[in-house]
Amino acid sequence: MIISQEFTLNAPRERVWDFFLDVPRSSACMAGVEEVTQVDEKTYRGRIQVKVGPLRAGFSVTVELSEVQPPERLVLQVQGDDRATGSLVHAVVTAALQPQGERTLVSYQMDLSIRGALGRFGGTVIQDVARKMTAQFVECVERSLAAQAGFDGRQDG
Amino acid sequence: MAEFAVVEPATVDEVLDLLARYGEEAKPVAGGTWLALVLRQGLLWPSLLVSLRRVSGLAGITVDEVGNLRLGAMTRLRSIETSPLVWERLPVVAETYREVANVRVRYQATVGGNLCDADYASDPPALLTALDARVIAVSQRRWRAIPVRDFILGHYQTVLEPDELVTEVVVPALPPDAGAVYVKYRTRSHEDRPCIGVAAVVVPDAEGRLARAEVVVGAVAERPQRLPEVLDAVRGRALDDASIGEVAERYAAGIDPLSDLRGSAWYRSEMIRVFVERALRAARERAQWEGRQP
Repeated sequence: MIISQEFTLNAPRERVWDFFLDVPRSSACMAGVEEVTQVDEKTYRGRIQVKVGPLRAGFSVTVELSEVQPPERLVLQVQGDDRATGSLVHAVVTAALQPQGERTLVSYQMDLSIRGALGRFGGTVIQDVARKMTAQFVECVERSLAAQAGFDGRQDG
Repeated sequence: MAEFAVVEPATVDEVLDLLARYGEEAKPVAGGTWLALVLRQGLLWPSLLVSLRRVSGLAGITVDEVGNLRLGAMTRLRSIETSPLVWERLPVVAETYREVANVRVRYQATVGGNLCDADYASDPPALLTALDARVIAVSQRRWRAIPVRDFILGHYQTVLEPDELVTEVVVPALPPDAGAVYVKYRTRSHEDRPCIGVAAVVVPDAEGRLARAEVVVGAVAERPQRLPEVLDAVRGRALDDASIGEVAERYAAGIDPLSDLRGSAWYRSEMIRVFVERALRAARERAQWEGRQP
């Protein structure tokens, strides 16, 4: 299943790039992400809880930054498993950052495969959930970047 | 799979007491067709299942003094499709429940359970929305009647609080000259869930124009889709092929459909146009227009 979306952030490309690569900060913007730890230079581990109405699933996730081309292209390999539902998730996320004046257009493509109970349950719902999580993520990133800009501004002055 | 206790209370009061005490930890079980799936798949983790099987007064089909059809929450779908009372009062309700899944599921699944699952790929929510039905929910705190239209919020999500129990679904009567249909489109097998389902209700006025039109499209988004501005625009007009085509076009353009194994978003948009048109034509056929064509 391929999920692709794009969104525009109200910050220059270098700042967006730095923010994304600051994994503890950027991952804090994903709803349900917790316990993020760095394993080595390009590998991180964490957990993500996904809730849909009364249903929930929790994944142990490993993320590897497999391709890093500052400040324009980032490829992530994501592996996750959920013991409770016996589900395995594998995703390759490719993100591209394009400057648009003082703003940045972020487009991402996620090639997602889910095996196990969750996969049988429904890719449709997962796509809808991904859409909502992206919207929340964008809102949070905007907020964080704006807060940071305010802070940097004060430092400069 | 979750470890849970099962209780089988005998009265609604006992159920409400359990729900008030255990909150989200408790899950009422009606027919269990959906719940068993999500429990087995480890997607739901209740510590208490409150079986409604032995609770008295939750099943049954009646007509009240103002002519509303009242379906008890624990009424099996099969009982609705075989009820002479439903066929006499609102045949479209019997026809729609007859379309759900297969007969084995319909012997088990219930009216209330089906709505509370809030699964997008389901037939009854679209029809009940078009008929302006109400869900009766009770708790120790209050009693409320919730329009089906507002009941489902999103995937598997309703407006119900954890301590509330659905006891009844109340479907208002239609005027005798109204025409109502539910058209289900399956793309795979006969037992399949809908790729799309369209409920349409038309009520003629004395001059043979539209006093009221309802069109609700199910199974194409996370909740049934109704476009009030489109329906308002055709009210008072003749229900000719041009108005039907206009409604169909505007529904196809106005709904942002999802993709699944039963159809891509693009395909669904095309099918919304086709099936809204078919449903409105069929509803027009069923309505009484004699002697008052505009």
